[in-house]
Amino acid sequence: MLIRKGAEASLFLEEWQGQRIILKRRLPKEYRHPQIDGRIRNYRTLHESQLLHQAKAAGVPTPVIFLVDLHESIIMMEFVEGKRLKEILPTLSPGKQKLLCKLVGRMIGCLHKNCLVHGDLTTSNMILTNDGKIVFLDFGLGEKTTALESRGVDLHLMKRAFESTHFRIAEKCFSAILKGYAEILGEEVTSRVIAKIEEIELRGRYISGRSEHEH
Amino acid sequence: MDAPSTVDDSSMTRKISVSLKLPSEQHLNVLWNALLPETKRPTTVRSKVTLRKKQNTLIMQIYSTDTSALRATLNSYLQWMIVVNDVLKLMAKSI
Amino acid sequence: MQGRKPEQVCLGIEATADDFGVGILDFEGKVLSNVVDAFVPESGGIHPREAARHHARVAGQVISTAIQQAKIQPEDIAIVAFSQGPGLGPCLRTGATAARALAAYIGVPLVGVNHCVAHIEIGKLATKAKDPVTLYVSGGNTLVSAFDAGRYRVFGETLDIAVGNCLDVFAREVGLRRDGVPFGAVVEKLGRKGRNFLNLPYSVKGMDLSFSGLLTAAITLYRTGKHDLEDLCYSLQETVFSMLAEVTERALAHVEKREVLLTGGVAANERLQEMLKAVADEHNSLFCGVPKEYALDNGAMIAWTGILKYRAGVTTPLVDSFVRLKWRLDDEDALWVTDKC
Repeated sequence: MLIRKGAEASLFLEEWQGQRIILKRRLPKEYRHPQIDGRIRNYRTLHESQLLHQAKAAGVPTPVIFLVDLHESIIMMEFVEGKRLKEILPTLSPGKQKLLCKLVGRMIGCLHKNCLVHGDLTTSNMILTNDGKIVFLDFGLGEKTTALESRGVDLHLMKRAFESTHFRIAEKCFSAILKGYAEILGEEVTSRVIAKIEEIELRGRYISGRSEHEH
Repeated sequence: MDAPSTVDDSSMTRKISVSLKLPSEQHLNVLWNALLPETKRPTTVRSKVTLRKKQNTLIMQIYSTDTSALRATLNSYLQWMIVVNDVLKLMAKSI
Repeated sequence: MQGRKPEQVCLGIEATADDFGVGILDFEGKVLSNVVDAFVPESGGIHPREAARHHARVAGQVISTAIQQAKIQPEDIAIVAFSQGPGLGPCLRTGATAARALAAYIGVPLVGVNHCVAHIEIGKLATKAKDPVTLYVSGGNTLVSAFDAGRYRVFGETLDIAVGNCLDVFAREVGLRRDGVPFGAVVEKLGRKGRNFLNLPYSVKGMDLSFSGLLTAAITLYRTGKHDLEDLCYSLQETVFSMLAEVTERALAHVEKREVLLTGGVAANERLQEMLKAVADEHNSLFCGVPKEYALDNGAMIAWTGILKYRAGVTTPLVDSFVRLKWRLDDEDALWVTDKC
């Protein structure tokens, strides 16, 4: 049964060996060149399944993977019971919001500390389970890197997700995230990442030639 | 936004004064309105611009830390004065 | 045209980059005139000071032509609107100075307009879109936006250079000539003849995009001398537009709107239009392509947004009329947007 049709993949809720599972299927896009389409779907499926696993090893809860079919671009994984952060966050008290965001920050810190960046941090990609864990989903755009730029972009995306979707509480939530992040990575690294985020936000969007571009 | 940090006035060692005599008070006010906001938000800490009205004359003074900055600022303001003048000429023709 | 009351006309001045445009609209949204004088640099990309000199030189003439074409008298103008940002400082200041002079002389209110908001608003007017997800792609901007809770929100944007800039720099670096048409059109024409697809870096991060690595890779491939320029143009376009289509689709799936608006200088590209139409179709949304006259930088979009803001009670006092180089799309309450569906 199709339960969510995203831009990139469709999620099907199915029954498998007596338990509920999610089939995540990256469907072909007619509009793009078959070579681009094939490359993206194949790469992201493989990459996502690897990163889901590595994230778990880094202490960040992710769904259990049962099966990966690269040919069909399908990942079969555990169905995580809980609520998407996007829906639950606005209903909570300010204190609870702060606590939860700090936990999110710690999780992002764990990823970064273990050379992982998520690549698509939004509150739609996080599920709060009944026992208070936050499960991270959708690692298809992730990377294995410790580059300051990638970490900066990762947190910049998180910040923007708050600004576009939770604009009323964005500032408070994001500063709580940074607090949690600093608990894992330390003040020094965190302040460099914050400086990077600021740089990303202020970037000039125009280059007039190659020479300027390379500076 | 692009508000520069201040530079000590004593380092503004270059100065130029420009006087523009205008045909009417209305012309003077139009030019005044057009230029004044620019003086409040300088784009460089190397120049400072003040405007004064005296009868139908606009007196502009530019203070700069160096001659290049002085020239750049003067050029910008003269260019805007010409734009305003063109607009005024056009209006006078059509009204 | 007769019988129009004087308070029904707005003159808008656009001067954020290399085009100086003046448009005049009545309050019903009828475009009375829309005149653009483009600065075409001899070589290289945009030169802010040279462009500003061009604007200063043509400002009076363009305003005059727009007034004549609209068949109005200067005293019919009820508001003067101008592009207050974002853009290149020297260009913006020249436009702002002309606007302030004009408003002061006629004695009417001034309305400062956000250039990106204006692209969306004129796009809505021209295509009758009500509440779209907008992809705005030009030489200076690349962003995906939609209206939500009082503002135009930015869902995705470029992390380095604008897509139009990417295509321009590529064209220049491989020695293409523009011959009076934009570089984008030259690349598009060559790309149509391409047959072999070459792999280039595909860089989508969340709903954001990065083009500079891809640009470097494309130029490097060209310099190996092993590939046809047609194939390179084809592959560059396919890759870049697939990225744009993907982020637009992500935003569309996220906000669940029923329209996709495509605007900006790069919107003229037919392959991009085709891809976005497919995205819209897949999500049961309507594709709204903005006609070239209103997709490129123009004065009409500034005038129309000026009218919308004025009617919502927003004017710009002289003291607040300085230009805002990095004025973000989401840094303003869009008080005039009410008819959300």
